[in-house]
Amino acid sequence: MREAGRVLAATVAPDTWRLTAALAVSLLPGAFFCLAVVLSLTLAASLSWVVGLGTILMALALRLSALLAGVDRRRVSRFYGLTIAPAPLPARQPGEPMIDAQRRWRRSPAAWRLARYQVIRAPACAAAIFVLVLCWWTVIGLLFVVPLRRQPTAPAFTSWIFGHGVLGAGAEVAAGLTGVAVLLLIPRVVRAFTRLDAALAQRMLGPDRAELLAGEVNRLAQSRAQAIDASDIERHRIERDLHDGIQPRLVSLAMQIDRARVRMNRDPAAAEDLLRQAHAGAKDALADLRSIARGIHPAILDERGLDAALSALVAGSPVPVAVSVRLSRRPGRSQEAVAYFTAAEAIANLAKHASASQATLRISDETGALVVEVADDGHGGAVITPGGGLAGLGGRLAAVDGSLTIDSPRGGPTTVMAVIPCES
Amino acid sequence: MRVVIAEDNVLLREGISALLRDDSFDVVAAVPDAAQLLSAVAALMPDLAIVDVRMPPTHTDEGLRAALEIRSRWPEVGLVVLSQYVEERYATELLAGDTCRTGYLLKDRVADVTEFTASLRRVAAGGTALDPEVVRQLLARGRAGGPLTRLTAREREVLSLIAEGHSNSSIADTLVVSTGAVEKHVASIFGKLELPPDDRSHRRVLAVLSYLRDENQRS
Repeated sequence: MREAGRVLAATVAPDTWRLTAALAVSLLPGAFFCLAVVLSLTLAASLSWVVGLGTILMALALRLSALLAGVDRRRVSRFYGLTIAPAPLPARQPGEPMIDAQRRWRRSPAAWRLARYQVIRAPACAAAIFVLVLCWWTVIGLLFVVPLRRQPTAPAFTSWIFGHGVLGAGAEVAAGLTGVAVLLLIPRVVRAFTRLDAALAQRMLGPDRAELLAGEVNRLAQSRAQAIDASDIERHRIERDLHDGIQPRLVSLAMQIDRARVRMNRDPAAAEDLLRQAHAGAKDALADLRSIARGIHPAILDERGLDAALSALVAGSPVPVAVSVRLSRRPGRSQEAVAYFTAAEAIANLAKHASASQATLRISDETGALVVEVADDGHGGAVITPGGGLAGLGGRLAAVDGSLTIDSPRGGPTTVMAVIPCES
Repeated sequence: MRVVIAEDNVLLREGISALLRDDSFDVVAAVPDAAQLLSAVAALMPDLAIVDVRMPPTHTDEGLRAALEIRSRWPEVGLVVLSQYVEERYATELLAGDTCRTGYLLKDRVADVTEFTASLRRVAAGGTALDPEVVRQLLARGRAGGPLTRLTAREREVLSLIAEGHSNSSIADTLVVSTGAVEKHVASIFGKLELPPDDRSHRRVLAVLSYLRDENQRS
């Protein structure tokens, strides 16, 4: 009895009805989509003998199916919770003649796959819905109409739907059992059909394996180029630091010593004063050298990790920075370095440009990725300029598959956030 | 002698000013960028401008470009360009056509106070001061078996000093030999390189430099 209750519950469960509705929604607009695609392709094919026009019409028909694929992608995501990446469609390259772009549409396997999807999907859905209607028909007939027929005052509709004649008792029991069995099957059938619908969409609306790989190769090539750019910017910065920071100090140091030498006999007091300046200058140069070496790569980062390195970093910041580091385990070396330099660059920037009075630096790996967030209460308006520090940072992040987002409305506040995936 | 200094690093600007004042130069202006340099030269018409190659805003070669502008607008102003690196290519740009009243020195040279001020005086007097490093770069690329390889070691030394802009007497002082001995070396060098002998110091610098440049292009 309880079993029967569960079967009934499954049949009338909102899920079954929702999925049935999903199939209906796939079919109804799908039929129009199918018609539109078939008609436009047929038109294009029939005019293919007109030079140029055929190509353009064909490309337009394929674009139409790409547009409809977008609608279907949204439908699948809404009803089945399935996110499908867009298939890689031809994009017009700058300077490319219009007609060549159209030709590339005609040759694009992805575009044709989207068109095929529209052609296949409506008939497939129609077949599925036909099967479902048949199931319900059987259930209603076997469970309700057959018993009704025994009444002398059987309603008229029972005869024009299910014909005449009264079954024997044994046949009636068999009919009842069959009805229950079909009722029991309906939720499974619905689920199987929607699964097919979703699988079809996933196979045909998204990128196929080769296209996925090609996309990944593109992305990798891009991030590698960015990493090279980043290391270029970095080398440039080190050269600047050495030449604008250390070299003038050493030159002026040497100059002071030589001036002292020249004066040694003439004016020993002045010479001594120069030597005292030179001594102080030498110590300043050492301090500069230390900070430049730290800027290239802080030794403490390797030895004691992010927390220690960041404490040392914010200690040197003119703007007070509250640091919170929450890590469940130590990140990989390169992730750690990228996180450190992201924080260092963001803090250097806010000290230089934001006129902030305070800032916070948060690092955590709660979400599974290493997240670095630097926020300040300055006047905002930070942008990524090509060749600048933030651009270099973006490249560095791309090299470890990370991403950089900057939220800095004019008037502030500014939040710089980097997400660095951890090696699993 | 009235001098304008353009150098963006405060430490060096002050340091160079101090060392020039020590040596009784008259530092009439010390400015941190190219725009202020040009207006200072226009207003003060100094005998000499000392210019750092790399200055704000772009920190690339604005000092060099300002120097070229000074050269074309006020050719009577002596120019000493200081650079963090010396590059033969920059020297070529700066010295193209004329080596009069021009110096191109590694920034480090200001540390040798006596030699630095001597270079400045040489340039202000109408001569040349080319950094030994540039001359070394020029000489280093001589062709195997070319005329340069026929010079003796001493002759190469003398040739380097000529290219740096030294006069015969200055070369004699540097090498601690007599002026007569230097003159003999110079005659021999010009003979081996088939250059027309010329006593005027800046003309012979030009001759030697263009010879070395051509030699480089051939190699």
